Amino acid sequence: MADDQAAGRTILVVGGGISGLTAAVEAAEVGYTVLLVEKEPQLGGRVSQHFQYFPKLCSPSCGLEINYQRIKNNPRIRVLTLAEVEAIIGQEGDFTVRIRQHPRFVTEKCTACGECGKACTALVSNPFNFGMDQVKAIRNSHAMAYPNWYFMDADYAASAEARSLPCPVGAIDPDMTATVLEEKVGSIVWATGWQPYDAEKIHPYGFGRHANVSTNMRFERLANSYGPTAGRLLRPSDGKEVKKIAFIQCAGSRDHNHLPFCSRVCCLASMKQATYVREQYPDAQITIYYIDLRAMDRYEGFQKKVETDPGITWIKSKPARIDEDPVSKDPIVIGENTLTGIRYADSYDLVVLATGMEPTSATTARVPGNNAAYDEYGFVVKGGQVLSSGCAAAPLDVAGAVQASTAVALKAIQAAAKRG
Amino acid sequence: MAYDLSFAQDVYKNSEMGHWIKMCKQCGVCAGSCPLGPHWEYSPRQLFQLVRGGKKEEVLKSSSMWMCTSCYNCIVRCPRGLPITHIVHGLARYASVKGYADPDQVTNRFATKIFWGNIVSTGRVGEALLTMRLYFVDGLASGIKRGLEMKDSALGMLMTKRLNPIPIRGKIKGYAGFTAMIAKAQELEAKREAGA
Amino acid sequence: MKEYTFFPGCSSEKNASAANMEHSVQALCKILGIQLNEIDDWNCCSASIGYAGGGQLPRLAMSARNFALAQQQRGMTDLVATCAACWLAMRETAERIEHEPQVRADINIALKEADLSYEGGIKTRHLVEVLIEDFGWDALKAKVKKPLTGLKAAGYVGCQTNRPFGIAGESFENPLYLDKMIEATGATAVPYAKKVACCGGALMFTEVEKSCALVRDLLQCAVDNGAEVIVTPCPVCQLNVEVYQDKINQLFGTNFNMPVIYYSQLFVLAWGGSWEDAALHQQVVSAEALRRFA
Repeated sequence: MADDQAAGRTILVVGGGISGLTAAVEAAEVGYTVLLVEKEPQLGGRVSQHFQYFPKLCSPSCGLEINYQRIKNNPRIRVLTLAEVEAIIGQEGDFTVRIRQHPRFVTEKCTACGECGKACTALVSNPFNFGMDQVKAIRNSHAMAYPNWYFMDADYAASAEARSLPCPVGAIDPDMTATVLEEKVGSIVWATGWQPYDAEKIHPYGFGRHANVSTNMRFERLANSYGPTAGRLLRPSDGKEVKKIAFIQCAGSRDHNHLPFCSRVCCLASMKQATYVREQYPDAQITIYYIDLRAMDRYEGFQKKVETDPGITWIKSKPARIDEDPVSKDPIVIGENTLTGIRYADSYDLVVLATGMEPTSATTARVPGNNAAYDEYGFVVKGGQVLSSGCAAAPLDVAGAVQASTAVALKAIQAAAKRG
Repeated sequence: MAYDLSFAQDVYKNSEMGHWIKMCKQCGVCAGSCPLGPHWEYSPRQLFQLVRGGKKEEVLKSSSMWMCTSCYNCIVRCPRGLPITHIVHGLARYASVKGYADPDQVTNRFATKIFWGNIVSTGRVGEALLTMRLYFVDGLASGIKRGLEMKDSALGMLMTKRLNPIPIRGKIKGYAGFTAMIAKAQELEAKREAGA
Repeated sequence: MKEYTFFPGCSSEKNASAANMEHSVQALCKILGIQLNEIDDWNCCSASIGYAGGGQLPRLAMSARNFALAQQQRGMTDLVATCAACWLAMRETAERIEHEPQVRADINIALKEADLSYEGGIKTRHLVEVLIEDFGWDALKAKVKKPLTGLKAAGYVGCQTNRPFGIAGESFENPLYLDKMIEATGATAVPYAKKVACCGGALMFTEVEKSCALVRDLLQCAVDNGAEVIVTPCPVCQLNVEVYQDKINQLFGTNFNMPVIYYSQLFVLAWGGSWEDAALHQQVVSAEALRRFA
């Protein structure tokens, strides 16, 4: 009986990005117990990879920092990183969930002093920067990481060097294995967010084949001072400064061959990224190719502001393909300007594909069992056993995700109180 | 500048796959994906917008539809899944049937008269006859000139037994039934195209 | 012995432009144990430009008659086509018969004039699909007697075997089966950007210079990437790219002399067939570069 009551007051939040963080702290701060499960070694999700938010062009670090403080100071929130929900049994008010926690190979004693990282000789492709640079096989994922507690890649843990790494507090444990936990919870918030649509699938645009065709999320990392170029906008093929740049909207979006829906943020993201270019290179020329510009609701003011920049050319067109100059490696964007009817073939230093949001709940983060209802695109919608929040429910900007998640926290409280 | 307000409705109803034109979102990817794109007077996207705007003469007198190589690249690239190749074929046929298409437009003349005439006269393509009729379509002199320009290739085809030295072929065995079938199909087609 | 109903199409007739394809296809089938039962008294599929003179129904009726004859003669056995345009026309007709009741009804009114009827149901397949699905890559490799080691071939898939239907399981933008076929013979498939580009199709007859410019770009791309031979599944591609090289050289001052052969010719050669079995004596641009494997 006592257990049942505890379960009824515990909310499982799956996903530690801005939506999951918000739902977790909002529920915990009104007295509910929260179990926050994150697949990655550290919290923050997609937002932590961003350089700036639109429309105010401020860094996401302060918002994340505040949420991390709220978690740290709240004994009702338990955080499990490197963890995935494997099974969900029961119903609202009375769930039993099975969670697999992958080994971190570093114990909680870690102080993030960095001695192990200095000694580590193994470099791996850096997933946080989308593989654009390399990092040590034992590390924090980025400078602002929370929990501030190192982790080790599994391949490296099997190496001889992993056993000889120095650690002043003895936190390194290459023999760590996965553990499986069973927990009783009253309600579940699915906040597994999104992944950038795989730009290689948009074959005519040559991403992955043409060196200087990038994506909007990669561009966020390029602009970031902790990114692979220390914040300088340099193109991948030769490190040249990016002075002539094109953004292609709806790259793999609103397209029945790819994501059929509009992600609602990509137009604004490109406008924002145009300001990054302008900041670094006041003489840069920027071209934005679009079908329709969609600055949703209150963001039209931001569009108006960016439109006053004389350095930005707006071309109404969905480009047909991108070729690459074999010598200069300049990408050449080819298509029809639909306002003039004129065919163009324009070369640039760099092309940024404004790719959309694919819900991870459609691919790598499906809800176990038959506990969720999905829409035709794989977003988790009303009708199942789990509640969904943020970009697991619909494409949203950060402010929208925070609002939606605050609302879902209340629904989760109500659902947890139900009796099965 | 004449607008024919019934034109779009008629195309939606009576031109093959014409109803899809309503779905075009004017992104322009078809124009850039077309191998002969720069040679179209109006891109497929523009044709569709002109149809919607009632610009009957501009559409039907245009040579654009006759620039389609039937490569189907526009179909697979169209974000809305419009069967663009078929829509353009439909518009070409519509222009031809309604008497707007220039009878001397080379592809119109070849496709509508020479090629179709060739296949329905025996049931199968007679390649040699087809080539000859194409070359001599403007008279003897230009025909000989065209033939001479391609003579090495034609000789090569003959030598490798890939061109029939006798440009006549027999009819298929069931030719009578075949012809009756085509006649009936044409009769039904004419009714449909007239909006019946 | 695997049996299929067969629709060769007009270009595969004796003394027609794809006689080399047909000859090598028959040799290929003999080696693999395929019996192709030709539809007796088939007619033209109406090809890619039949829409203009034929419109919708007469055009579709032509393929429907072939289906009806196939059913009469061979029942519901899979129908195999080798020509890209024929295969496409048959696939399109089948799809419209299946999904558009009005089209199906009208087609049958027309067919009745020829004492025929057809309600759909025969599966249309490209010979390439038969090779991949019914035999498989291992079987195709196992037949190799003279590996074409060192041969650099550009796989030219072109349009109509690729779009709008495409070989089952392949992508429109980057189909891989032809490269895999080239590799299966021991040759090297050179990567190049034009493998699904257009050769001009039937517009080679009427828009000669525009189409020749397309083929020039294709040939140049293949040459630039080191190809000694172009390999294609499509008779229109084969004809346009091979036979118009003279014309292209005249028009653009180029000096192309690139053999263009069918996948079936490549297989027959690698499987130990003779030069004649592979119909390599029927090339307008000499395929002597392949003689070292004969």
